Amino acid sequence: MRELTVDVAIIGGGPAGLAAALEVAHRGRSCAILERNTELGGILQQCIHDGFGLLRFGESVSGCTYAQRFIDQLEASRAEGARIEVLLDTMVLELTADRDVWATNPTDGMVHVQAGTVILAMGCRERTAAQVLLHGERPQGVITAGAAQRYINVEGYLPGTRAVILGSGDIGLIMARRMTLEGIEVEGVYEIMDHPGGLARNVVQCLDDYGIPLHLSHMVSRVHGKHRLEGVTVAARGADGSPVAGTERYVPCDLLVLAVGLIPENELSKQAGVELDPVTRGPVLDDTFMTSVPGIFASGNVSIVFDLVDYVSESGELAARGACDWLDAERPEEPAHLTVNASGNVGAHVPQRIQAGDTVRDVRFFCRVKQPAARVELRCTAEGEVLARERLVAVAPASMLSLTAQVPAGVSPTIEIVEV
Amino acid sequence: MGYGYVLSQDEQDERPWQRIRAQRLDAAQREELTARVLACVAERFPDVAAGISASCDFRGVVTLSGQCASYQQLCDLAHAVAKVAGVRNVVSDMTAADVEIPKRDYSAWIEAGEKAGLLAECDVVVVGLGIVGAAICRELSRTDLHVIAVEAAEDVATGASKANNGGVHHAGGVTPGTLKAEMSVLGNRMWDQLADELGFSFDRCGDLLYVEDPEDIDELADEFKTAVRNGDWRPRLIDGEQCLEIEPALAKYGHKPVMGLWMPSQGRVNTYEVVVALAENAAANGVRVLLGTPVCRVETERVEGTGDGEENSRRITGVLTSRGLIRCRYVVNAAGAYSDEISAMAGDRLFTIHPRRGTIAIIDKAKPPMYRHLTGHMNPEKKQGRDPNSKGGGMEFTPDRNILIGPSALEVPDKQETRTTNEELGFIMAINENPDVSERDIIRLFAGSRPADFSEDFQVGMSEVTRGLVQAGAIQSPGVGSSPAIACMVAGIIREDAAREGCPVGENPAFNPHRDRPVHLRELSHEERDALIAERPEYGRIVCRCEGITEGEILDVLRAPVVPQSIDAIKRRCRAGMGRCQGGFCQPRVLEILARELGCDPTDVCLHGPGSEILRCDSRAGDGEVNGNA
Repeated sequence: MRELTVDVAIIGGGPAGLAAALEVAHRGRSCAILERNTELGGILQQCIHDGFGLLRFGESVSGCTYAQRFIDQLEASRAEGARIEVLLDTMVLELTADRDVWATNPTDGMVHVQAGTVILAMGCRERTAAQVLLHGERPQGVITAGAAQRYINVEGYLPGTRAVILGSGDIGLIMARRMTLEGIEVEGVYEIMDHPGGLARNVVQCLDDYGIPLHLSHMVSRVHGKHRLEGVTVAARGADGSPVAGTERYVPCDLLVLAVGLIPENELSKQAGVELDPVTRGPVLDDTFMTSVPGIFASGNVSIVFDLVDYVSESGELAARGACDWLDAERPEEPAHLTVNASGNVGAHVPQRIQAGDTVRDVRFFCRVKQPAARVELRCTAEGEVLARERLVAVAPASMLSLTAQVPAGVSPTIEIVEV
Repeated sequence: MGYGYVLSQDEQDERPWQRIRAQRLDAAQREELTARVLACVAERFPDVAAGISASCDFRGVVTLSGQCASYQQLCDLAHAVAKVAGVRNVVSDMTAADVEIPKRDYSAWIEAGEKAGLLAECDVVVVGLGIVGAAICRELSRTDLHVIAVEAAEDVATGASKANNGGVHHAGGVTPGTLKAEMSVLGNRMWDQLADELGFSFDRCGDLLYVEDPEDIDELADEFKTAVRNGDWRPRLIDGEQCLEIEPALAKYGHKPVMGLWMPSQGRVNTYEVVVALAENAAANGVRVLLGTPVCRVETERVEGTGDGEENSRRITGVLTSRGLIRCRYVVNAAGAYSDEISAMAGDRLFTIHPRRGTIAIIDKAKPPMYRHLTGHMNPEKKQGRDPNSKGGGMEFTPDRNILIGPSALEVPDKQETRTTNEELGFIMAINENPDVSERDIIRLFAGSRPADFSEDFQVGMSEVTRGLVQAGAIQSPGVGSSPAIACMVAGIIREDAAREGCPVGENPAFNPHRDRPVHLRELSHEERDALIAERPEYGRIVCRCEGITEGEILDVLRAPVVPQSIDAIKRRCRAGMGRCQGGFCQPRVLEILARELGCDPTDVCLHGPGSEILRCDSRAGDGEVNGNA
């Protein structure tokens, strides 16, 4: 049994957790990263494609490189005396509202961390075949895009020879290109929505450039094959969600890759009694990235599924600042909160509320739109006054929008999309 | 309130299943029965009757041939014939105009088996390792009989035992006088001891049926009478207030029971967990388990002086499997969906399996069951549209308290087909009574087939045609709960027969009824966990995040007496990959461990049966040899 006492316990050593740890160290506080994998970096380690770091580093690097830059910084700051404890192969089993963390690993057995604050950075997981209710038998050959990515990029095996991709989330698009390069024939990408689930740049670079068709408003209506996948039936999707008669088409394939969305992994958050937002499926956060449980903060994809890792890192830093401020204030009373309103086309957003406070503060907002739109303005308003605005040529649900506004004390801000 | 119910002497003596199985018909009686069968067909199915012919054997087993308009009509017709007085069972050689009924092709296995020659010799071959076969193996392992169990699939519990909702049923829903009713009641009482000895989860949760409309009380009382007649353990009719005492949450959901039927005998298990436990204990006590070994022929010899198909005209000498011949004196037919084919291979055409598919949805653990007990509202509307031959289907849960919804019931011609459809999903979601649960909460939708025959009763007993063939087939709901009793019955039949043959069965002096419950780290305290990891560090490495399963637990199941051969086999034994991500994260890790422990290449690891290799080829190998590429 290992006992640890730290200022900040960070659950998860992916991009959010790494950025949070560096920021905590920068503030001179101690922290421990509890990472279930045998290395830091999280899912970035299997992302060998580029496109990471444009905002943060001003250049496009691979996921592994992006992660390595943070890991290198972390090692450097540890060498300079920063108190960052890294526990690998360590899975957190329990989290209490009193910030008691129980974890397990092969060397320490049980690990008990008593933390001044906790930053949740567990990331997200993929939706599975059950959640898209694929009908048919349950043969081998139906896997999530992330699992396919791991088999191909990390393990070095090909899980099929001819693939159909269901869902046009970014990982699916990336995998369409990746599989093509590895010699797996990608028959097409089928998306139930009438717009792509992933970023426009990925549609262009991963599908168009390789001649892979994207079928919008389409579904897989049946899976064929008993032991091994033999094919799928695809069809246009009717308004009621069922296949349109006469549009069914049989596509032979031995691999069906699912890229049907991500869900924040909040099992630990629920244990600690953290209130969740049904829209983001992450914790309800305030402008310091604190959850409804005082002293427990959240960052990265566990709070809202981001599109770019650069934002994930930023959210880690925001949560770390929040946590350190909270410690500096010597565990203040739970603050009063004001709701952040979202109107019109604004869907998932964080923070969902802000601390009432008594001073003007910079608040960083992240949000997604519900429907694609062109020539709009993203605004933060309060009591009829526009606090911040940004003109956007086009917006789509796949892209995260961000905005910083100076919010006066005691007012409830509104995030809105206005056509201009 | 006068809801006491006393059995009449007639009711207590009623064992029609024994009476019909004892009947023997002479030529004239057979002709008469055939005529009555054809008259029934002519009256009920005039559109196809002209094309249907029937014959009848000395036991009153009717064989039907000809063409029906549809598969559903075929089932209806055979069911109708099975209900004609004096008909013991129905064998169908009929075809359906709307669909081809697939036939299993045994030729490749026969060829391989003949080539392999003699594989083994023993006293008893148990065919099939579902819950029935595994329970029989475990029961036979108490004796000094040399037993070999053969299973066609790559693991135990891959047929109906994999895809049911694990009910150890009360006897309120079973027709009195059937073997089903008798086995169900006897079996039900054996589960506490079995769970205790074998270390599997068993939740005797009880079942509360209630009515809100006083007009439905009669129906509730009928079920009560059925339970009493069957000898169920302490069923009780209770008033509305008592219902609320037993299940206070009823009020929370706005239900106002006026009367209830409380049946405390109802229990729940994970069927596959039980099968693994039974098979492992049997193996530990000396039963040899051969997985991936389909039976393709049953070897018999003619008994001199008898005519073909007559009583005791054949005797068992062995079985041919794909891996060679096994010589034996007894064959126990616990082959589930294929039990009719095994029986026919042995020269006894006693029944036909018509698979009845059921679809079940598993709900995320984050949505707990509404009630502590199985609790259901009984009203006539709910029964509409249900298959009269299948039990319930409803809001149930596993011993781990995952909600299960279903199963549906649909006659399908293909024994292998266990696909899910949108229609059946719709049926399931219509059953759902939990306001917090929607389609979004489903973590797994699956289907299985009930191996039903047209008499809709269990077929357990010594074959009247082929001596040494012990039937344990057509076991459908409530087969899980009944299986321990069926096992005892089968063991009793073999003991009795062996004694009559002059070679009485002795006991196995080394028999150990106990199997240690596997270590489940999630059930331990922090201190216990810490101590265990200090001893074995692999208990500290979590492989399956959703269910919290460690590498140590996976290694434990890989070192058990019946070694799992596939990713799904590991999932069934220790829940790795059973959670909400359905193996998305842990499958690559489990695959790696499995390959390492079995000493095979990762590209050889299967999800379930042969041909389900997860990886097609090593992308860095260069030669690019593709796995099983057709």
